[in-house]
Amino acid sequence: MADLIRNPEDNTPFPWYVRSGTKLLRCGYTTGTCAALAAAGAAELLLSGNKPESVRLVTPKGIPVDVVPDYCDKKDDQAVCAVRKDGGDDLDSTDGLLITAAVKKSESGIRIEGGAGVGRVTRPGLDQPVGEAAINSVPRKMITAAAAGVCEELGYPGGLEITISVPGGEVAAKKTFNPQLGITGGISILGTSGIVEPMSEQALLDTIAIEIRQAGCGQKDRLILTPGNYGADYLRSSAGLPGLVPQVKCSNYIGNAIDMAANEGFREVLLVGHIGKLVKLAGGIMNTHSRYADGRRELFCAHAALCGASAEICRELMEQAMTDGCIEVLLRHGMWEEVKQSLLISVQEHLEQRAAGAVRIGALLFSNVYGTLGTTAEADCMMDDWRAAGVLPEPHAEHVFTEKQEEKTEQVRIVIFGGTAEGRELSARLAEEGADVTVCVASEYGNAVQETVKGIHVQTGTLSPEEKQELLRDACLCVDATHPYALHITESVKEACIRTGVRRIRLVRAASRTDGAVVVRSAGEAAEYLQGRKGNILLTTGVKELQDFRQIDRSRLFPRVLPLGESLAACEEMGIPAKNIIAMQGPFSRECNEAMIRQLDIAFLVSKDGGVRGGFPEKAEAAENTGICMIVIGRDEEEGLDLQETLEECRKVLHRSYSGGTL
Amino acid sequence: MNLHAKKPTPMLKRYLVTFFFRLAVFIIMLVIYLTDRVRLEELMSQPIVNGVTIIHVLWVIFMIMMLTHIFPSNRFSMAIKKADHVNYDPQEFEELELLRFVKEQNIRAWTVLLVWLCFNAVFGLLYLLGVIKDIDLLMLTVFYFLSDYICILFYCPFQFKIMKNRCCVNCRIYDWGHFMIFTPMLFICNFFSWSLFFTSCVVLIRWELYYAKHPERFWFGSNKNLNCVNCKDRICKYKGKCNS
Repeated sequence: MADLIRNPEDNTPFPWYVRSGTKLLRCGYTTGTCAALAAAGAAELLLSGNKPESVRLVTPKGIPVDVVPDYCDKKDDQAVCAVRKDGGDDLDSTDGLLITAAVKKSESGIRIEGGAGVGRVTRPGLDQPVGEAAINSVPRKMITAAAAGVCEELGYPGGLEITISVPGGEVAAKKTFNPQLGITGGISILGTSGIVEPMSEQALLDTIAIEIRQAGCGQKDRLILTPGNYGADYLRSSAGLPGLVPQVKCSNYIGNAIDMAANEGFREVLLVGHIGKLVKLAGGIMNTHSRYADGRRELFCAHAALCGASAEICRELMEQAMTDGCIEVLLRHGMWEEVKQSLLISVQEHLEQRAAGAVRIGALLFSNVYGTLGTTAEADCMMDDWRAAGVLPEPHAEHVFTEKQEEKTEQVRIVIFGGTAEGRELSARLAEEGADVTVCVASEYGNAVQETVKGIHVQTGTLSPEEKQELLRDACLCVDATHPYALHITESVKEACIRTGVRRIRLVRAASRTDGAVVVRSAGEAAEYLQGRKGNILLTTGVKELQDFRQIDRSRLFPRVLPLGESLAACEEMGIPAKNIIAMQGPFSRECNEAMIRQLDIAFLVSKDGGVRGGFPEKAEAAENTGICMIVIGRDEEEGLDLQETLEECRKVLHRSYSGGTL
Repeated sequence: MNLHAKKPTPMLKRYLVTFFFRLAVFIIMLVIYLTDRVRLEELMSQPIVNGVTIIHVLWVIFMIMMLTHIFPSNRFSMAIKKADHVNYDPQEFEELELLRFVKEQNIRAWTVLLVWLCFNAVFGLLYLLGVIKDIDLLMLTVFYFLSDYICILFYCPFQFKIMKNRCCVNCRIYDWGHFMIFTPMLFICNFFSWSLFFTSCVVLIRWELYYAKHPERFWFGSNKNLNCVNCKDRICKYKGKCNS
């Protein structure tokens, strides 16, 4: 996705753009965003009695949307609010439709229902189960969060019933793919980022070309191509991939991406993708966008027929909305293995035809439901070669889905690299759910504060790379819940996971707001900033960064460290006067921080961005209330999951293992 | 990399060779123009079946020169190569800054075009009034052919007065050269002149399409290859000396 640009010359409510050549294309917001905004507006009117002048939310992409509702009305016990869909310069059949939310009070919880103009799911395999309104999971989360935010703000403890409707949605849906997908009666409420980004095809192709070229900067031997987010997620979560091989998302442009890789001089290309996309390759469809060609069911059907399927089975295949449904049919009739082999052979043939000898190419197909489905013969050989070359680890935790999958009953082992509050909470909750959890903490102190419930084993001390690999040897999953500033540990955990082929999840803390603070890149930079300024300094960065402040007069420094001998020794070694040392364990409340600032006549508070769990908001509030200067050692944005998402991912692994499925 | 290196770069050597070649062509043509005007005029309309003449040789030279710009070789200067995606080495940039740069450069480029067309319109008018003839316009073209390299190597009025870009590598209108050289050919209605003029239009259109679709390749703020530190041409060192 391209970077969004805020255009200061645009005074419209949504001045966000993407660039295409020398033109700026205006972005819009999704039906999901509109539904969440409408729900928030209606909830506000219902609970406060005031019609909101504007409604606002921050989309999952982090872009704020602030719009004036088209109307807000309250009748009896229900409030209705409507927001008009604005697709920006990407006009589709839903552009300009009103998305309305009718909100009623209920006893507890937030329930979302689809009204007139919102489609209903009639076939399995979609984001929502059969019978549900076609409001996808991300918009549901957005609607819930928006309504819950209003309830919290207005101090309403009860629940809400929200009905999303789209006047004219039924007519508009006829111009979409909903009828083919088995969604009837209206449009879908969609969107994963909350934002509609218009982009020309050429701009997309250029972006892919640049990414492929950049991927080849280090070496041009091997490349992994994935069509989209499913592929990227699969690689991130799958054992052994992508290893040390560069990876590029190629969207639907499989054929173009193969040509580009060949032009760039890559020798071996592995295509990793969802069967819903890559099965099209079996029919020689090299642009997998549905507007060019679909043919997924037809291909399943043709290959099943080639393998001897009856007309009845073929008919059943043709009735499926999604490829997972086709797999299920074939599994039921005991034909999956044979049809899969036939499809894989065909995929390989077409890939080789396209590559025309310029690159060695193979494909790996997976499904979100069944995990890894299979690899083409060439992909198999290629991956073996990559393992021999040391760029892919030996497989051990990942299995290819077969019909003869044996049930797994042994306890699932999860390794958590912790030492943080999130690590402690995660380990306790996973142990409660029956996982065999090993928590690695660097210090004895970390060991002491780690909860010791049944199922948790604590490993104390700094581990060498080999020891980390050994620890991960028979683990199903590794969670890196280390401190956001412990980058070297994160790197070594990542390396160990790649080497052992264990799936890794990075648990990240959201970055905090640092409005009004001086943000620097390192402790050294903070020290430089402080050198020319007068006043006492409260150092809350931890003992490891203490040395960076050695140029500053010791009498000005008031380090707040953990109550450990080694921390005190470090302070003493630095020559910090004993009266200046604060040896306490957090968390510290705002009041406590304020008291320290006032007591010690502090003028500067130096802190890392430790997030909510690191007590950062309390420090920031205390600094603001006392009027002192806060210096924040910033950190780079990291990709990963928050605590709740990590927990959900771990649960999925536990669930799959206990139910005999595969990762 | 030593920015103050005195040793001529391979690109400078290449430029000098081309300059002297063009100078030679100009001198030869000037000598013929001054000594045998009538013969030269005859040659301009002589078909190739009657024998290869210096005009045919000149046409081939011009055509080869333009074709190499339509399909540029890797040995060319970054000034031309920057349009191609393989020479785009992206760096972080502000999209709005890029668009501001594009807008400003476009205004300057339009100014250059206007000045150039007005300047040549004078010759066009003189030609239509019968004051000057085909042969004079041909000599003007050959003079522009030489001037192109004078602009690159010594002094470019468009660069210093209008475009104000730091060097040729960063020039928005670098590949307008052929269009400018063959502008006088527009006024002469025959195969020799129009084939040259319209081929030069193809070179120009190709360049402008690249610029419209990928402006980020043309700005030093977004393409690392256009930064001085990555420059292999270093023509500015000599051009700067000439101008000082």
